[in-house]
Amino acid sequence: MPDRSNNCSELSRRDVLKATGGTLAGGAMVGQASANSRAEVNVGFDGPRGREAAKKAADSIEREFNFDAMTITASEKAIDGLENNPNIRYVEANGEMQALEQRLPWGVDRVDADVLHDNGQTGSGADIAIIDTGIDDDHPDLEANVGEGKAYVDCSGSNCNYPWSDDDNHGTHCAGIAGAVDNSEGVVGVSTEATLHAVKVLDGNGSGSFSDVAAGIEYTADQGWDVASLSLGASSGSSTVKDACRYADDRGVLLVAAAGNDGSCSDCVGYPAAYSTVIAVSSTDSDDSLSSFSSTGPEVELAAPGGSIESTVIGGYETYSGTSMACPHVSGAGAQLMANGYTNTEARQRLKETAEDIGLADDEQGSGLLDAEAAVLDGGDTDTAPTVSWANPTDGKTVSGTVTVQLDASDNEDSDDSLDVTYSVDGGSARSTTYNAETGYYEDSWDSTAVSDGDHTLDASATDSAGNTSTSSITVTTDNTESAPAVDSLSASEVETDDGDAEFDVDWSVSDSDGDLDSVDLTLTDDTAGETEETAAVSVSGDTASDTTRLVAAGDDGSGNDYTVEAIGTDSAGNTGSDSTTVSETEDTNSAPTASIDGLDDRSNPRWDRIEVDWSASDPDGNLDTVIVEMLDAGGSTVDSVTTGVSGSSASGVDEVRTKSNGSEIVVTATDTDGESGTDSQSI
Amino acid sequence: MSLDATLAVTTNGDVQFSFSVVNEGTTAVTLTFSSGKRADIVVRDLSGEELWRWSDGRMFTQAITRATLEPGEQIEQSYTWEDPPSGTYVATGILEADSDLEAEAEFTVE
Repeated sequence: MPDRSNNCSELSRRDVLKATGGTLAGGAMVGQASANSRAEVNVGFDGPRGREAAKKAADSIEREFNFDAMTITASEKAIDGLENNPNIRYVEANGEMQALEQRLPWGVDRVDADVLHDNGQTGSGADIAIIDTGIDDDHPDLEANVGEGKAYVDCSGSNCNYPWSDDDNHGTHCAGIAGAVDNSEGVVGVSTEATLHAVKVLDGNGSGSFSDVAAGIEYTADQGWDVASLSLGASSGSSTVKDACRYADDRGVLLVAAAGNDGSCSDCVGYPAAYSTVIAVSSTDSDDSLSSFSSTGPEVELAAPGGSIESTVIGGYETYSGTSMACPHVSGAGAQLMANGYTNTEARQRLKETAEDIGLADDEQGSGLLDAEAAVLDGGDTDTAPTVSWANPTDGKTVSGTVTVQLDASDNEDSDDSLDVTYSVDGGSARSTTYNAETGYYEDSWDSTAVSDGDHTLDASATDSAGNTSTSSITVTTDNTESAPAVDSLSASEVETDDGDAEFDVDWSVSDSDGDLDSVDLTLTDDTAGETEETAAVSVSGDTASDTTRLVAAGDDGSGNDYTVEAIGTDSAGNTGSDSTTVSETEDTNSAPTASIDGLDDRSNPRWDRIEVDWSASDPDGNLDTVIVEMLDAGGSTVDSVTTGVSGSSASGVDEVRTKSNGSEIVVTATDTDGESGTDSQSI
Repeated sequence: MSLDATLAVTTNGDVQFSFSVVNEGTTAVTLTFSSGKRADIVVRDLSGEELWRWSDGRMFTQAITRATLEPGEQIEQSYTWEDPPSGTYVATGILEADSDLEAEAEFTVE
């Protein structure tokens, strides 16, 4: 293929004269593409004179046939001459044509955007803002793709069909790189059907104010366009332009800018390329070397073809060099990703991760040379990546012992049980999982004691049959230090009873941070008497337990005794934790005495009724006071009585009661110190 | 170097600078510009302190451009300093090409 790369290097006298009347900038980039256009043609001739004419017209002879024809490469002018030569039978185009047919610029070829076109990837539906000097709106290689425009500076000259028309060539050139139409003429862009919007912020001399540039970026964001292509820059920054880039980035615009032409230099990326919201693009030549003019620095994210790039200019085609030319290559590829549903952040990441390492320094190539084919075709669009997330453990959880890892993974194309799902701990080697049809998760057992206690990163990865991988990362805290249970609360309260027991309700709660509680043992001790009254063992599990347990000091009906309640929590490892509390028996739990007539001995004589009463008395709480033995007459009146002082819990005695009248009934009454009493009676 | 630069200044409210470069030699000279900033104007006061620079606050196309000046040919560019304060200044026109070339002019704003 003929090399047309030097077409722009010299200016004709006429162009400079034009500049004389205008500006330093005006004619500087007008060249002579049409005059130099060549084509490969098959020429048929009659006789030696025709053969000579064809040879004379040829810049180079590609093939001579045994019959009267040859294939030559010749200039358009020479071809025109042959066509008018009577000794020439025919001139026909031969395959790849220069000027007569569409050319594939080396940059588009190098990033394999032509492969995208062959696969139907055209950027259709994406909107690219060419924030520049404008776009030649009626250029035959752009017209079908040119969308709306906006002008922040005036267009001057004869090409200003719209305020945003190009009066410089630069914007038109960049537009053609990003998205020249795929047709039968001129050049083809990286995208071929993306919409190209002209945002004119630079004047016909190629300069514009920070404010106008910022306004153009803001406008792009407000229109909801996908890509802002910024083939412009300055060596010093602008807070307003920086803010505008942030504004656009936040609104989903993919921002791409030229790294600058200050090369060779280091750490010299210009603005806005150097802003974090913007992809800075350096420039390469066709041999994959860094272009001599390209700025470099840590902000460079991608390299793209920028040396001797043919593209559209006002009314024609020209070959320019600059990071301005590298930038729209990336813009066109980014537009294809955005057309396929990528967000600006995803597209930026995708462009970087698919870039081709061409061996330049990081400051020169960033992630590498733009690879439009890899970015758009490899995965992504044709086969969606699977999804993966952590079902167990979940992010932030504390785990111990053996953990059942459960990963939820699925894919649009592949069945849910066919994915390759692995995980790793702290970036270690991948651990495989097994799909569990019952739970629907990919599962594995992980012994968390293999790592030290603390925070650990778990990275899950799911890969589908197309090789697309998704990842999900969480952080868990492992705690495998054996911990003892703790008694968190313990209180005892006296239970009101009417028997001779001291009873207490004990409220307790225990906990164990490693969750292996086993039992709670409760002990009730009578401190006053110095003896253990009752113990209770309660089975527990898990990390916390609580209940209320009643403990009884049987027969302890005395008032004022002090008791101690001790609770001991024990885990399955035998670790214990304990607490105790004291409680007093404050209730006077008096019980009534009982009296009993154990026997009557009738010792009456004719004058006296005399009954000897054999009695006994008892009192559970041991405060017997008196026993009264009475004889009643038939009317119920006491006719005789004997009172005996008693004490303790039991007493007995024999007393005689008598009367001259007729005794009818013997009653024995036992009374305690509280005045409670019990009686027994027997008729006589 | 056969190139010669001149800087013309006119004050009329705003200050107009016209920076021109002419080829005084007998052979063609090709200039290479690394960006749309092909020349710049710097204004300093008489103590040498810089007060205004045309390129401050501007951004430029990032394509390499060339211009060839045949013998006797001239290119020029105009610049405007709006709302200048009164005073006497020295302006310097700087060719931002692969050939260094400057021209100075003193002027007074009433």
